[in-house]
Amino acid sequence: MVRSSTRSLLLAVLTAGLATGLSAQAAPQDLSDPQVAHVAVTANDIDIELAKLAQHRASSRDVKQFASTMVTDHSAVKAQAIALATKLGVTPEDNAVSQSLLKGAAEARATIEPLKGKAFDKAYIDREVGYHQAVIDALDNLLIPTTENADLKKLLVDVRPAFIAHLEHAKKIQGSLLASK
Amino acid sequence: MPARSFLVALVAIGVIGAGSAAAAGRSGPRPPRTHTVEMSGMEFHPATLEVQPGDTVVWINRDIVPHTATATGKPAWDTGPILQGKSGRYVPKHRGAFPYACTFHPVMLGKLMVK
Repeated sequence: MVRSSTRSLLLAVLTAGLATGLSAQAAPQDLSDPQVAHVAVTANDIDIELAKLAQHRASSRDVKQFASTMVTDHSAVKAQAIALATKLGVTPEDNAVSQSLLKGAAEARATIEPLKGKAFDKAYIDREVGYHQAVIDALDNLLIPTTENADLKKLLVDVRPAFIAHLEHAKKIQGSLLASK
Repeated sequence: MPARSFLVALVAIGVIGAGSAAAAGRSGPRPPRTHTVEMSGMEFHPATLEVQPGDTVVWINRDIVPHTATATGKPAWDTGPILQGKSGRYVPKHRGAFPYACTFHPVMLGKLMVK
């Protein structure tokens, strides 16, 4: 009971953190493996879509290169997640966490898309720093502990270092953008 | 006494001979070797590798995402993109310390010590 209520609280906090505006009542009680698989695919899709925009719109070479890496890496992770779900016979299932991620992504894109030049670069990299941190927190506190299937759990554990490297890379660019102001 | 002197002389020659052979082994050229660096968990393992000129360094990518091993100084060299489960190689020709990185993930750093 204690574990269950702790997890519910954690889910509520995380979900609220991932997308501002989502009410606590909409927080899920738990995530099934098909739901975790859906979150994994959605989280990667979100980063790929914003990176595709940044590949064309960013003005800094470093930011463009970072965006290209995001498209490549998150496409590779997404393909791996889909291949594993197919192998396991798991059909990814939509859920409140995926929805909150999509809502947050739409809000971020609406803010970033109208910007140009250095303002665009800064807003995109700021978003990437925040987004990767949120996804790493979700992996550590929600997705990895919740997942029951050993193969799916291993995939999540295996991709974590890539997200950490992305976060460090984004922070490095964030620092150099501030310095070049 | 003569027998002992002869024995001492023999042992001395043996020790000197072995010492010379060991010294020759250290400084002389040895056949080129192949060394392996694993790319896993977004790191190079080992991060620093000691090799001799003419040795082959092979990088194997154990991660899901692609990597490169690319010189960050001179001379310029680059394995190009290495996909999951694939490998790339480089044969250093000159002595020195050569830092390198993954161009996709600049936080991944390694060093070749060519001695």
